[in-house]
Amino acid sequence: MISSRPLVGIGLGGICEGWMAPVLLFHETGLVPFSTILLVDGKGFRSSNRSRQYFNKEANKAVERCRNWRELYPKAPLRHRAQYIDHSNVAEIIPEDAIVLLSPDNYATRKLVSDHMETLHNSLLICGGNDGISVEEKNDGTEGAVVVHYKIEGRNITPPLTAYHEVIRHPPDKLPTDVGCVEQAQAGHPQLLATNLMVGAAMAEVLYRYCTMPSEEACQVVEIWLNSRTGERSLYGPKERPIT
Amino acid sequence: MQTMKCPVIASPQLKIISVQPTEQHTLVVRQGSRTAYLRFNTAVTVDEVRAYCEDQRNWKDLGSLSVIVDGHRFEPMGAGSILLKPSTAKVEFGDAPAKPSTIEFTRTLPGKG
Repeated sequence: MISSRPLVGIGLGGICEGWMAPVLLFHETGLVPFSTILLVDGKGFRSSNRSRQYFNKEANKAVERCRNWRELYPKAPLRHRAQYIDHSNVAEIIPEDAIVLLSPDNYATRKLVSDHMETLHNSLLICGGNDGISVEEKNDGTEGAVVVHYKIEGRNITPPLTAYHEVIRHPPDKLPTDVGCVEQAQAGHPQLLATNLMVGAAMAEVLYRYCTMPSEEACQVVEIWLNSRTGERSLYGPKERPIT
Repeated sequence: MQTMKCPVIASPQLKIISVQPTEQHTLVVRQGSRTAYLRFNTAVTVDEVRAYCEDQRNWKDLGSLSVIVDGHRFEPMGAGSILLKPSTAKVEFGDAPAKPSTIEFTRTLPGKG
């Protein structure tokens, strides 16, 4: 069980809508208190985000979300960092003992964070994503997944993200800091609110699970796949995802 | 050497990229910009592979695709890239393994946030 550790939220787009409120409720009610809640994103809200994200101003997502949630929870230890995570700042942003909720728009950031989490002694990484809508890639935006990497005292309790996912091991894309503005704008895919919320809620569920249950019980869920159209939901545990 | 033949049905852009024996025998299949990974934990029987591959539910990310395996028990330990022809793909593996095992299909992790 985990308590009073720093929580870092990276990638504050649509999926964040699903985990942000539960994180603050966990903290406020004392179910899962955090020492700090740091929100990290270099991107700003755009009008096109309004179909699935709540915001007042088209400002940086970390700044805006921090400001909005502080109004509801003024005592919450909310912090913000209005920049993308990259090789130069990852160690500073994610300290030892950190719990990370990771939901960026690219695989390269997942790889960067996953690699860093592997260097820590104690860490909990909960990574969520959805497929986005793409005719070319035959994605209807309804599929999502959550993967967990948990370490205690330097020992992997669940496998690292890279163990079973080639796309994390060898990301086909780049960090936002390594691509131009035009490329970044073109990289965006429309997403579905329902899928975003389901993935975010599943991340919050996994967070609660790992923070409140004994590790041997918590790690019975290592990976969750879901589909917002069919309602399918698949759980993978240590049998399907053994530590190699 | 055993042979696995993979006729591509209604999916001309399918490419079987490689077999990666160091990663638990992963068969990488790519269609357009999407990639799927067919993982053989140790060794498999032809019947297991055929049953698995012919179940369309296992290939839902790849659309209407069917892979038919021709030959006997095999283990995908061979090196090498496999071929890119649009109509048929012939995949050659190494020597036959000693025992069958299970097959696991790992889908590409969704990456949008």
